[in-house]
Amino acid sequence: MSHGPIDSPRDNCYSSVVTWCNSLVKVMILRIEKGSAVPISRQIGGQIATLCASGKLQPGERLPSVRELARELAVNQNTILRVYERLVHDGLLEMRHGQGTFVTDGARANSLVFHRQRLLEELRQLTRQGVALGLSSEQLHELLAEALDQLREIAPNLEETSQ
Amino acid sequence: MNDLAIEIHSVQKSFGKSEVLRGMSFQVERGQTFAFLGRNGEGKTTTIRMLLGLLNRDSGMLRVLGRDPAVEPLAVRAQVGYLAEDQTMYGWMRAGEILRFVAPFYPTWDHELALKYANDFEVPLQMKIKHLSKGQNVRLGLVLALAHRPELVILDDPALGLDPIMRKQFNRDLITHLQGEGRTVFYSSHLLYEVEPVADEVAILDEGRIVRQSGTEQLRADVKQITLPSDAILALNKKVKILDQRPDGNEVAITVEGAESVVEQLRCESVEHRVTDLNLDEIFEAYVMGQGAPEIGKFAGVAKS
Amino acid sequence: MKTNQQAMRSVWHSLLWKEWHEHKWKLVSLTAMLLAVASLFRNDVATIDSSGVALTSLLIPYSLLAGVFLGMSTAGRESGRGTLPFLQSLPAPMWKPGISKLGVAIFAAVLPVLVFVGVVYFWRLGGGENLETTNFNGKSWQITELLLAITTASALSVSSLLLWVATAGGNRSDEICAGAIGFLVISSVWLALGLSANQVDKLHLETLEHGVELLIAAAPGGAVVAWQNKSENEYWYLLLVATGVISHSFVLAWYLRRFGKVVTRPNRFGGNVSALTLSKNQQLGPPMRSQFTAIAWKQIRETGPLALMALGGIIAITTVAWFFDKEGADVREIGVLLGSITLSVCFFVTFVTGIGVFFEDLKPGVDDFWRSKPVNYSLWFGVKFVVGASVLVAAFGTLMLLANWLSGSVLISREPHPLVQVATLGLIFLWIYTLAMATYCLLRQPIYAACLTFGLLCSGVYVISWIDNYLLRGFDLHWSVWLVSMLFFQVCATVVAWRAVRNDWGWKG
Repeated sequence: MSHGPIDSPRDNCYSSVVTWCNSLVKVMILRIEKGSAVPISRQIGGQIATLCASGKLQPGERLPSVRELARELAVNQNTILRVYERLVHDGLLEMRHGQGTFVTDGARANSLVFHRQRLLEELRQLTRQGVALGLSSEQLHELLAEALDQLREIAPNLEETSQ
Repeated sequence: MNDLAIEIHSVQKSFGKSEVLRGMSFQVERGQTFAFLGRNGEGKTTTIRMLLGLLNRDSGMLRVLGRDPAVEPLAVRAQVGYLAEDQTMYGWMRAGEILRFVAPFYPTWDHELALKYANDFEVPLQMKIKHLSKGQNVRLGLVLALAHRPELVILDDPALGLDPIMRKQFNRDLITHLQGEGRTVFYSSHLLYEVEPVADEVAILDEGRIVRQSGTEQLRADVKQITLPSDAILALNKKVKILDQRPDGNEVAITVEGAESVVEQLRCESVEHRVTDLNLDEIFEAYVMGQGAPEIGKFAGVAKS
Repeated sequence: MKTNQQAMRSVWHSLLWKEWHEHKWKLVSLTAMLLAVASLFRNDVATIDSSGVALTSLLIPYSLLAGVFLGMSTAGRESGRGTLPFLQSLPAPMWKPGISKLGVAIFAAVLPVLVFVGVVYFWRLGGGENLETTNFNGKSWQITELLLAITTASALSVSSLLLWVATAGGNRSDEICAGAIGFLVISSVWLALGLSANQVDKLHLETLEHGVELLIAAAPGGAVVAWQNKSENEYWYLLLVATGVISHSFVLAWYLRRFGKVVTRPNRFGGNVSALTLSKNQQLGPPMRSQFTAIAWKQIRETGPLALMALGGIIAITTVAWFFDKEGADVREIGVLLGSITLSVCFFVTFVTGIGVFFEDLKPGVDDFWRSKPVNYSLWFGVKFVVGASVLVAAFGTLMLLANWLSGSVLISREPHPLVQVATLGLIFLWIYTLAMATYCLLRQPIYAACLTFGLLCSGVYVISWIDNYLLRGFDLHWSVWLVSMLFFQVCATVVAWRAVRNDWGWKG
């Protein structure tokens, strides 16, 4: 999930929104951080991709319409439309004429491709900080392993769910 | 028919000796949601009052829905929905009464729509205007601005006086009722993070001119901060527009327009650099407060174009 | 739209509905005031010989009062309460709200006169004297004829005054300012006319005299002269009427052209620029030393301009008089002239200043502002009261002293002691000032405050003269009775005003 710089003084401008996809009564939680350095469209796109990757959005499920989502999130319809188009282009979603927008069968695999690039970018930033602090390659790997261990403690079946 | 809802070309306006607008130009296409940004006192309200024909320009060209508001103010006002900043209405009237009072002024007034909006916006129709809260007052003003189904809606800082919950409700109303129906919305705001999710296009007003007009998303993609070694700045193409620069040790953080091409250029010349995304507040600050033109001799090679 | 028949009214209907709502209580209070004062002086009004004089002496101040106060609210109310930008942004030409406002205001000014005269007529009918004749103004009148004539004249003059004030005070930032300018314009016109009439009288040129008469018909409230001349010469009468109609049409046209055509400059504009200009002035001087100086400074800034304006007006008019009077070169005459001008202007300026002292302070937002500061409300009231009164005393007192000196002290009679006379005069004005202030603090609407003040003034005078004439008959204490009772009323009014300010009493709508 993408987050902007934490130093923003306006912690109160998030909007968490629960949207029920009408057809399957499925809960989709999207959280928008206003004033973030990450553009809104990328926040929404990233979160939908994450939902696909984690399996919370299953192939064949219908997403809310552009209009509905725009209203729920209080975000410009054109922005939502662009996000959907982008995700369609990336193979996560498909628009069925007259029926709406659905999660594709290959969404999970495609979302990994979608995320890989972003994760790499974020790791690159972190690594740069580490190098600037004088950490060696081993120490960096150690840190990554430690983070992974910590997560495993909190959620033991972390890796199984995402397989 | 002209597909521009608002067209402004090198408009000038002075009050006495102080020049407020110095050749301001911008255009708003029909159907767009257009945010008009600027620091307080930079002439946003002046511009908006000109659009309604409530103030006359000193020179320049100005068209609203194809008409000149200075020549046909009434025709423009009849087609435009307007909510003034801090609008004061008759305190003794009830909210329902002012709807009935204003109705006959607009040939296209739809009273059922007015009542529907009043219901949607939770405006208590039985209450006297002087007893309404600030938020209710703004929403009543909004009902008055929308009930004649205007093609163009001009809102002067509607978020002023709304709490976060109401602002969200307001944005939602704006999206559902206005964007959803293809209306053109021109609004000014001092809350940039509220503007970003809603606006298609933004224009930044500074020192009486528009310093940037662009799609919201494009603007964020286009203006970024790049951190690079101080001496590498000389390697940059002279056409690069630097909005702001801050020395940081032996590095310098520059905020540039056309980030993509700059990054491409740096990559070609294999200059070590980092790119940081900026939020709208930071972009705005770079345009309005930024030290673009390098005054330090070291950066003499780079000019603000 | 077909869907909303019931809601669709015409623009006129809408505007008239709004103006009616804004004027209905003014109409009621004007009528009530007129009837209340009339019933105080019922004997004079209903007695056949004094009725003409009594009626006119009631209706002349009424016309001035209603004309000026309704005129100033027509001119300044919308901008005073900040609703003008809203009205301007409606897609209707400004002359429409302008004319409906004026029309309803005139209606609200004229209807009380009709009701009042109707009531008087009814009293008269009850006495069965309706067929008798009376002498008034050197002519013999049948009662109904006299009442009709007085009604017409008052209705015309109050409308004309209202129109002039509304036009002259147009586009001012608030009602008090509009009223002051309107009154100044009217008094200047009348004084100029009075002077020229005076001049022409000396020249004994009949054509010029007629010319002046025409000018008077064209002047604010000048319609009164028209009916006086009615019987003399049909053509001349028509000419007078035509002049009046033409001049007032011009004023009306001007009013409609200007109504609401004020460029409201957006506030907060030029943040940086104004900061620069600020630093040039002495605004950034040291902070004021005490609350007292701070409040006094504020009060001088508020009352000072009005007093200065009145002072300037009076001096200018007197200078003009002196210039024309050169051949007479009688300094005493000028002194008398200056004295009488000062007194009449002083009456009105005191009235307006009294209302104006807390006008700004009691506006909803401002009221909360200064009350939220750690100020002593009694000090606030006391300083404002004293400083406001002192400014008036300084301005008009100087002029009166000058007038008295110029006139060789003819303004003061031998009996009673001069100090008593000065004190009585001073008390009268102080009383008007305090009453206006107290009523404004309680009612918070200039026009209602003016009505109540006027009513209270009349009843006060009535009560005092009653005490003097009936209660203490045979004691021959006239001056002391007046002084003591006025002092008593003064104290009452001051206490009411003080309590109202201190406890924030008042009608907040």
